[in-house]
Amino acid sequence: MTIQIGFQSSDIYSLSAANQQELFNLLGEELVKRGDVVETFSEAVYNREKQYPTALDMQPVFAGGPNIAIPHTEPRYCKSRKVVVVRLSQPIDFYNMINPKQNLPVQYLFAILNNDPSTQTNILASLMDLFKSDHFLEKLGKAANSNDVYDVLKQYANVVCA
Amino acid sequence: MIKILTACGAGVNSSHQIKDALEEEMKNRGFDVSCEAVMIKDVTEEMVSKFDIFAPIVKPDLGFKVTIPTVDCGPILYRIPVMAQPVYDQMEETIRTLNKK
Repeated sequence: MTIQIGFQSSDIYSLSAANQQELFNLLGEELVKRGDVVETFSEAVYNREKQYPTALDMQPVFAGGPNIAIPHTEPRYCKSRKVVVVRLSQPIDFYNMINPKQNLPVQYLFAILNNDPSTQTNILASLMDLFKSDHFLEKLGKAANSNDVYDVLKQYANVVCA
Repeated sequence: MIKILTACGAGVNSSHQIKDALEEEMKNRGFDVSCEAVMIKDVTEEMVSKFDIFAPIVKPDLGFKVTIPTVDCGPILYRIPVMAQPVYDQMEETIRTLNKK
């Protein structure tokens, strides 16, 4: 069963970075300021991405649409439980989760923060259901800024926006 | 009973998603399977030896040779039937080669 995913408008970021390291440093700085993660989050999520990549090739779902990565790390680096969305002004290369030798240009991150190790979250399943919802990737690909992204998210039934 | 071991990195329980999907689909195909989901970092040679099939998201480098059949199950995570089907078919074929029910 699909559970609902909550998104706050303030958790949607537009960032510009040259590579993953720069991106995670920028994101980490923002999230530390907001009290969502600990100082070592950037390094932890970057290293984890190298070991267990998280990019999803969305072309089988919607050809020509954006690819998405779902970076995440262990609960001890997180201080909240939420999904943070990042729209990249230019795609950044990530490795494919199910084929780690394949590089994919990624335009969106749906970063999963979870500070509760005991929670059996089905967030990945819920995100997958959202990504393959009617016209979702098409609309996401046309979003030009974080406000547009928020407007797209609001249109889907399994999303609760605040 | 066919025992399957699945594994993922920590964080979003992707191995649980694979476990649930494999158990349901293989039951539908008439096989009695039990699937255990663990974290990749906890997988040991001794643990693997207690299972019939290894079903990770993608073949990991565990630092030892996995001697049981391995089926990469990552495409199941997309929750798109056309992507999952070949994985299920390969799993069924692998189960049949074990010659046990």
